[in-house]
Amino acid sequence: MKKRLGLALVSVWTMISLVACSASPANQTAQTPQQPAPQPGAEQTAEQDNTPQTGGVLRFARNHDITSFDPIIPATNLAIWTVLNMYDQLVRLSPNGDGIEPGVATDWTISEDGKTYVFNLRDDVKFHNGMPLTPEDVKYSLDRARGGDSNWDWIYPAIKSIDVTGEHQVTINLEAPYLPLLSTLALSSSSIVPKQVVEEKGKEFFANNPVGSGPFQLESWQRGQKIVLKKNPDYWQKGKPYLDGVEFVQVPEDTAKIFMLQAKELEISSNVPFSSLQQLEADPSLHVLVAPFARLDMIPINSTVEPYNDLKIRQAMNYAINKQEIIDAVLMGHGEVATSYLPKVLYYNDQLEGYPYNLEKAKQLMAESSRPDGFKATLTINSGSDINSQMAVIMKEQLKAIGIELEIQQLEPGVVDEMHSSMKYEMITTYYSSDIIDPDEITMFGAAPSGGTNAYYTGYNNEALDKMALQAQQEQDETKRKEMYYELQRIFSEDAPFIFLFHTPNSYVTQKNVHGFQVSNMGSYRLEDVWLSKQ
Amino acid sequence: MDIGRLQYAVKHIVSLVPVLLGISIITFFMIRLIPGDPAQILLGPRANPETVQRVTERMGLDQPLLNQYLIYMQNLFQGNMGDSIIIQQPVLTLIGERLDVTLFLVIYTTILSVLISVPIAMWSAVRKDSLLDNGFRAASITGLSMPSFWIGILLMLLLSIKVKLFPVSGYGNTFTEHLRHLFLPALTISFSLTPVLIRPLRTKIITILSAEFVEAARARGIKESQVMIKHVLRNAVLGTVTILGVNVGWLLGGSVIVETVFSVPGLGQLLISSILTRDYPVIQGLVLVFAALVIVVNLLTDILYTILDPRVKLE
Repeated sequence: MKKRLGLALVSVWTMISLVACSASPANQTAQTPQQPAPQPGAEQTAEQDNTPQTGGVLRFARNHDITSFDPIIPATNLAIWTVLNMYDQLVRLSPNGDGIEPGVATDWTISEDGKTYVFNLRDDVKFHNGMPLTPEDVKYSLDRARGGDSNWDWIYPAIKSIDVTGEHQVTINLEAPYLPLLSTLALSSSSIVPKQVVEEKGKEFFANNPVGSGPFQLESWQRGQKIVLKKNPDYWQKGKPYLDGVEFVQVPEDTAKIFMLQAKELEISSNVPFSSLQQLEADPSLHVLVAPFARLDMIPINSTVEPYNDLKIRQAMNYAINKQEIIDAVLMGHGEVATSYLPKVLYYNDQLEGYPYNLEKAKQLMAESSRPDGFKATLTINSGSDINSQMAVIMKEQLKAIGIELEIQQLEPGVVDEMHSSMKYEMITTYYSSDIIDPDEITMFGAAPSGGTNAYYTGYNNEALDKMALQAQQEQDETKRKEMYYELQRIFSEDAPFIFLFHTPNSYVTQKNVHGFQVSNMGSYRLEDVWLSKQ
Repeated sequence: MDIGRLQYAVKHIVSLVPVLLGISIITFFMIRLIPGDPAQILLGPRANPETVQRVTERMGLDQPLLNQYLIYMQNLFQGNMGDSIIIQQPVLTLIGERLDVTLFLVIYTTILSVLISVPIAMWSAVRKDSLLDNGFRAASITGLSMPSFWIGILLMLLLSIKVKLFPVSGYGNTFTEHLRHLFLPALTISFSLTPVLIRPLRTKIITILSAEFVEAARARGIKESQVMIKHVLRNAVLGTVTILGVNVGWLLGGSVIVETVFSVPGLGQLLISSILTRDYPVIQGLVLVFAALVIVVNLLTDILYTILDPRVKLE
């Protein structure tokens, strides 16, 4: 199925390319099929012209700087989303994040046994330094991404070898079928780097002087202030990018971001606090975008500590917490109640009931538990987050109703992470987000005991679940695979190693003259599709 | 500079060494006492323990603490502060890139504060206990008690949004742009620095105004403005120099917060981000640089004092 889907996408892509080639690059008609699809909440007003205009620099505020442009190094979302606009991968995420599209690979075939993937590459891709992108570069980059220098090696477990099998062809051989492969190849760490440059200049040099083949290339990097990118004039998607450049400006203060938007010092700001969105929406020159994001906010419960090893207590706490009330009060209604360990990725089980707020049931479960008279609990939260502290206060009230006396411990983020990963906590507020559309990453990392994190450091151990998670990686029948992930989510939900909270979206505010800005489910954005109209 | 001053300077610069050594030891061990693993923070919550372990080794953080300290010290004596474990750049480069920004801000703030304080102090002293004097006093206390991030936000709202005079944030590329961009941050810090300067200056001016030599100058028919500038101010401003010198550490501390509020890419911002990511070498380097700055400025203050008042001798 997956293979046929790939081929279908390829044929669509070929048609698109034909149409795009027949139109001269300077003549961008409104009908260009590559033009981003209009997105909910981002419709342009009727009188506006929808023909993309070229030129202009997009000033884009984000909370912090990145640490490296080498695709295999950084792990922060901001760095990942930056790298994706500067490099190409074999395949890429569709603009809204619900599928995989061709990237440098025009098409691919998967062998019957699911262990061999053959990719045919475009022959017109050039690196920012003018060198052509070759299959050797692809092999080198992927071997590097799964090698010892990489911070992402763990995400390529099944690859046996990568071979150059033709002038424009690369073959990936797997130890065993591994269905998440295509998803993984769209990841920023799978970006293609020029072998010659990295080998000659070394990885430290490359981290600061990146050479990719993506729509934008680095012009300057003023650490702590801004990253200046300029348009790659030889980008393989002819006519794109529309912008002359992008400036990622570092603005850590929420208030400063809002003021800068109002003073038109920015075209886009990310992470605008939900509490300010309503006010900004009223501004006629601004546009608010709340984009769904594959993120789960939850409270891991350390089940290696008493009384949290008692299932009834974990379930009782889940029932006692009114998630919708927290969403309404803290996220200003922006957010969705979570029922699964999975964020909204492929095979997300939308039939799970989860733990809808039910005080009676919670009280009953408490009465049947090992601590019918209640107990004292500690919730550790991140001191830097207003959302966390507001949430904790509400939870304290809600848990009091079932006899749990919650003590809130506010600590600095680094300390909270350390307590979490060394399992020295009772309950903690945290979240994770998926980098790929396949459910495997989060399943192995967040739920499966053998994934290396003890089920996100809860100590939850369910052998049956573990076995099924590993089987699901190899299951080639799409229907069966989906059923397995549905089942995994059901089991995990029932065992309640977390207090499942909500899915937090990403908030962006843009000037009205910004068009084509779309955020995928994974949080990434393709800035080659963005254009500015004259105001 | 005469021999006495030179000797004094050399002596104090030499005594800098044990002080910095002590500071380096304290910072080295203190920051490692805070829980939080740099490798884990760098890799984010997604990475598995094996990758974390490998990165820890690459950072050299798997070695015994004493070894780490000896390596650090060895490098330090060769003028090398090591490499940032997160950004993988030499600490000196990172600090060098940002030192001028913070120095610009600190000097700008100092000049701005003096320009604000001196006229106000003079005015208050001349019109002692008038409505104006009391008004300034009340304003001083208000300015002193408002947190700087709050003042910063108010100034932004007033001077960048309502009246579009200054940019909300950033640093700019040319000298004039720096002046424009850093005006609000400098003014913000001045709000809490000027009250500290005004009050002693006002008291001093009041004392001097009733001194005999001022009476004598007036009696000789020297214009009042000349008396104020040449006789009163010259004598009164000495105390201000000391206060500024003493407050330089505090000024640097203030810049840490203000740089974050206004997104100014200075040392303060680097310090905050490296504390959050547990970038030990950068924190160590920054604390040393801050300490050295404070000591050097205090030394310069002492020397400047002897130039302004030749009666003062350095020992």
